[in-house]
Amino acid sequence: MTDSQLDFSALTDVIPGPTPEVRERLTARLQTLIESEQQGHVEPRGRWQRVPWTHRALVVAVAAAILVVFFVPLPHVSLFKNLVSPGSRLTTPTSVVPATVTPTSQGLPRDVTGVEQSFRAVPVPSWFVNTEEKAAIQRQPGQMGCLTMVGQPLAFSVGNSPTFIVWNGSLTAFKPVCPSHPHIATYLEYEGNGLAGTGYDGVSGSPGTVEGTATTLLLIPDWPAAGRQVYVWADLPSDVAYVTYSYEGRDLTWVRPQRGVAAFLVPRPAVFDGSYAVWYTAPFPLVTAYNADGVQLAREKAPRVDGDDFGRSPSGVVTGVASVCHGPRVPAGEVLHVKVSLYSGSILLASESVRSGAKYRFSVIPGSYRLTGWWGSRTVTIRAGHIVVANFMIPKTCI
Amino acid sequence: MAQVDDSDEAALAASLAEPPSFAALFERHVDGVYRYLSFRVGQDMAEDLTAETFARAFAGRRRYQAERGSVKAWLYGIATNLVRENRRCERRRVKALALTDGGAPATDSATQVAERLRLAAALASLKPEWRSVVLVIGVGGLNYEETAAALHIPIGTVRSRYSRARTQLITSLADSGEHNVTGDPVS
Repeated sequence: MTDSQLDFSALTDVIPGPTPEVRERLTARLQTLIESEQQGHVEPRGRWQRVPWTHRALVVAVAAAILVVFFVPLPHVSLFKNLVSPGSRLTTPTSVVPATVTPTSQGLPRDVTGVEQSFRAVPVPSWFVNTEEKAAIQRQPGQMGCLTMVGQPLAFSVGNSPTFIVWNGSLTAFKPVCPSHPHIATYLEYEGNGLAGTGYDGVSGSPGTVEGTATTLLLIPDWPAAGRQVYVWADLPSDVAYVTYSYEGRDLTWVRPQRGVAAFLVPRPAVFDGSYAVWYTAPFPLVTAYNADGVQLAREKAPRVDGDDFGRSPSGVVTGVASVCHGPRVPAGEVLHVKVSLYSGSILLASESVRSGAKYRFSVIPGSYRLTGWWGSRTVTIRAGHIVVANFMIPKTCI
Repeated sequence: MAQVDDSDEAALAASLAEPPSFAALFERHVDGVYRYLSFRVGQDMAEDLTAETFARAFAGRRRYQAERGSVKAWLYGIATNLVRENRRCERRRVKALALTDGGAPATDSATQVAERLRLAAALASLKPEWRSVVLVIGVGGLNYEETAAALHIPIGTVRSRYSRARTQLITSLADSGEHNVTGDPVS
């Protein structure tokens, strides 16, 4: 059998083009759009027409980068490989503590009932704005594999998350022909190969307009930890004062946009990881923009990307026996449990309660983690395909 | 091919001042985009996604950058993004195709139907990112360069993914019977 070529005509023959009826409907739909624009029903995208970027692609790329001490011990490892993915025995998302929120109702539209999530603009990491690298990148704008920056990158943190970056850019960023700075390379690897090396699919943009301005709604899945995700709504008009995130009819949290960007760090609804039938019927998360007077300006459906859509990285395992210090004697019939928690830096990734003397187990993406329990804290380093054993036995001092 | 791309770009540029000019692009590519989406998500959704593809293209035509690829690649990129947003539908479609005759013409022989089913089953087993490359090339008819632009991946990645996917398809098909092999894209 020769393997140099494949013939897909067998399949393309099966799939006909649109029928005349379908074609007619499609034509009518396009005609409606065209006529709407001609009649001025579709408002021009004001600021994009006023500024020189008008003819540049607006591809808002979101990169997640772990910048702080959590992953410094392994600077040679892709930052994104330090994220945690669910293991077979990882605890359920319900055990993950929600992002830090600061309940307040100051200035909030009356009908918004969620809690405010901390969301702040932070300095753009130095590695990202290194002018020399940017210049080097921009010297090769015509080549695939290079990054053409358009506009100013913005950096944010939501729910005390690590920094992520949003920028308006024309992005064709791939590792091989771009500068070799490890952080840039990591970022480019992320863009080229996606989270967990599975392609660009993980970040999904869906366009919408607010007050006639084109916006983009993106998702950073499974970040900064498995089962959690960051929604980013970018290019919001300046009069958007509040943005809420709601699911199943409840406003769960809200933020004040910063520099035209709103973001939410939220748990991924469990139904998104369910079977097709479950996922298909799951409601969309909704993000809603309000002005300072509490008037709703727009509401958008947020992507329902599930875990399977962006794959998993090779993982390692940390396991061991966890025993509880129970004093001189355990009362008859009483079963003692010990809680083991896994942290990445200060972020709680998962917890598991096991019977005293039994084994806990976390399956995680390679990186440096901290295990905590009654014994205090212990740092472990996980490598792909390896099992790290960390036992927490009853110490001699425990009587 | 270059003339077609020029014409596409000219029509797109003209549509900025005269929106009806966009209809020329629509006429030229609607069949291909619909066929591509039909294969990926099924005919039920293909109509909506085709309409959405052209609606997004029309709404975003000012953002088109010729240096990033042809208009055709741009359109298939939009269509592919829509497929990604409906990934589950694609999975179901591909699997369903593997389980039925996929609406094959009644005049097809049992051998032809069986060949289609084997190919569909083999496609269903590919990684999504490999399948994207294979289908954009195989069904959409894009060349390597256009595929790279459409999928936002380097041309080297297109080649490697296509090569790996082809190898896996060959292996899968070999397990289920002989098949014909022809038709690489133009590099």
